[in-house]
Amino acid sequence: MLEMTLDKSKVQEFLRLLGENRRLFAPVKDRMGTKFSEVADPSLVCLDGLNTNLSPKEVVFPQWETLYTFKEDHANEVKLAAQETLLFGARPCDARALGLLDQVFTWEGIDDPYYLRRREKTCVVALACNTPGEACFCTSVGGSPVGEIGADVLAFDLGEQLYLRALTERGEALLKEASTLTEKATEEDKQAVQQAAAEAEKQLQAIPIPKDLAALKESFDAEIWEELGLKCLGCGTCAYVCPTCHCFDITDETKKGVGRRVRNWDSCAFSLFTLHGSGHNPRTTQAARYRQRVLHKFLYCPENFGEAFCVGCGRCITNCPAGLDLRAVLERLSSLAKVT
Amino acid sequence: MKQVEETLRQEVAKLLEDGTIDVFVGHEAASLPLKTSPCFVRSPKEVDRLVWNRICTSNLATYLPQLFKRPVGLKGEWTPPKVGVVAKGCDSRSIVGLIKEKQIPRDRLFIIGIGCEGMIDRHSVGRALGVVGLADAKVDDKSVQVIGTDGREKRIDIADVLAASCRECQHREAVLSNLTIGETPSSAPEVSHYANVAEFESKSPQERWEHWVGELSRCIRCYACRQACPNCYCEECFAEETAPKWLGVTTDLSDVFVFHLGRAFHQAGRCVDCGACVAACPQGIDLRLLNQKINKDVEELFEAQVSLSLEEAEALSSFRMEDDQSFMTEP
Repeated sequence: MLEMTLDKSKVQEFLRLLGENRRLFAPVKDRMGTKFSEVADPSLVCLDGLNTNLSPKEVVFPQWETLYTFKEDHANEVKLAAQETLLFGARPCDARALGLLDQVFTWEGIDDPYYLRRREKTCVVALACNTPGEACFCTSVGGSPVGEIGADVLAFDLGEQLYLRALTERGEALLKEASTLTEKATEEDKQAVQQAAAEAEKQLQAIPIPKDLAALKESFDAEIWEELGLKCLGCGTCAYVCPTCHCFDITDETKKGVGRRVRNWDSCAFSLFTLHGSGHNPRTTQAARYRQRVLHKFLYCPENFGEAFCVGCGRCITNCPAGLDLRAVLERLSSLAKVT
Repeated sequence: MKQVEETLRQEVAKLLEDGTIDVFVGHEAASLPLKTSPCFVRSPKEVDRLVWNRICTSNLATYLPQLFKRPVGLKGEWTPPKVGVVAKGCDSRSIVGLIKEKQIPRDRLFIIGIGCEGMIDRHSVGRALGVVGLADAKVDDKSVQVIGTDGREKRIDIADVLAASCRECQHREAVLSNLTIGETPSSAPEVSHYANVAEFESKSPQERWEHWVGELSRCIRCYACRQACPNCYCEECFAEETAPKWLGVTTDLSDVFVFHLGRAFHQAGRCVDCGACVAACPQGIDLRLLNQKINKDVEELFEAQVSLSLEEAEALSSFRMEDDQSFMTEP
């Protein structure tokens, strides 16, 4: 596979070149640290932050989109064309999350065209982490600060230059397109990358993750959910900042005979999430709703997809207005599993 | 402050032991620096979980109504619990409001008031750090010593990272309590009240519009502001009603505006400016300005402040002949 280096002084030029016929999404400075934004001016790109406050999932799975429009008795399809897109500087956890979303939106052979139209045209350049963030735990959930899953190119910040490793054909094509700006990586570069990778992985904390699915099932009636439910405010912050949460709602918005069918993000923490048309709600308490969020990620997803739907980015922890910490919950669930 | 924390723990242990209360709602340390989490203490053995420091930012009144709701599916007799809670000035005013709005019963509540010198706003500390995260922090009376995830240390004056609400707070002691502990807080700051609103009002309509377009285009409709607010206890929020449907579900500006303006109107004469909405917002939107504008109007029109006592009628839930009626239009 292609391994190149790019002098950091040329990053802007690199992005300008590749952004000529693509939409470019990259981290920019924000009052909450950094955020992914569609960037027209590459000089705004900021690669010094770790995890952006919101995940980049919106690039392929927007918060809301129109599925089709309708007027009185006929419906109009929306065009499914999407532009070539470069997602630059996503951290390996976020890239891995895209790989998980891919599984959901192609589950059991049923493709979601709205998701796939964007995803198929998105080239992901992931940026490996040299130091972990305040709530990072990627290695505990099977990830790595230098992980490759979900990315087309993996980049390393080597101080003066970026090392770029193509991981897919799309990634290789991307690097070839910018070959006038890059150099072939030397053995020294490759060694530096190996060292940086080892350093980065060492720095991450290890937390216990409950992996005994039968024990997790048993935890359904455990007492711990009660207090967690009292603490949980029932907002959608954790789900909306999460790179793997993918639940959505579909509603019709009409105005005088004209309307649109809209798909929008939803959150299992909301009390209306499971409210039936009949008025019955199977999840009546916040405890049941909080439990759903944790068990969906660590029990139901392993059952359905073979792996937990958490990449350890820590956004739900840094952003929870009630100070809930998923790591602490997982630790308690793990010790519960050992007892039973 | 350590001493106040110790006194709090002792008092709560006594209350739980002698059966005055069944559960105490307080703050406990959260795992990240400069963060606390609400906690529910049910046994004297657990009182060491309770903390009292400059990061007890949450308005605990928000967590009270749920404790007085009959458990779903429970048949037969049910007696609501006796609940203790620690209250800053703002928490106590929200409690007064909730009692008056009949969401929590006064006679089942034991309120421990603590004078407050203002709480640290974690978002402001984050902004002082820039794009890196907060690895560690130590707080003393005057400053916050922070270490970023890049390893750099920084000492920040505590006054620079106090929550905006706290900087202007005029009610630093609980207005309703069964017991007060700690020292009397220093007198209210000499910050001109509603300075932020006055400054905003002096702008042109175009500038004001641009300000709110900028702020509200950040909104992700997570409803953290609403959920953290003690006044937002509606079983079904207008934002989610479907018949009639008042607004759409998207993050289109028109939908976001309707939500935030609608919520602000529902706060008229009820908001105690605790800052919970601002602290909860994951996008750092300054919602306080909106609520403060309405508070200022209520104060000017009705010469009333919100929820200062159980006895006094609230401006918008009472009528006086001398009330301002300039807003009325001819039929």
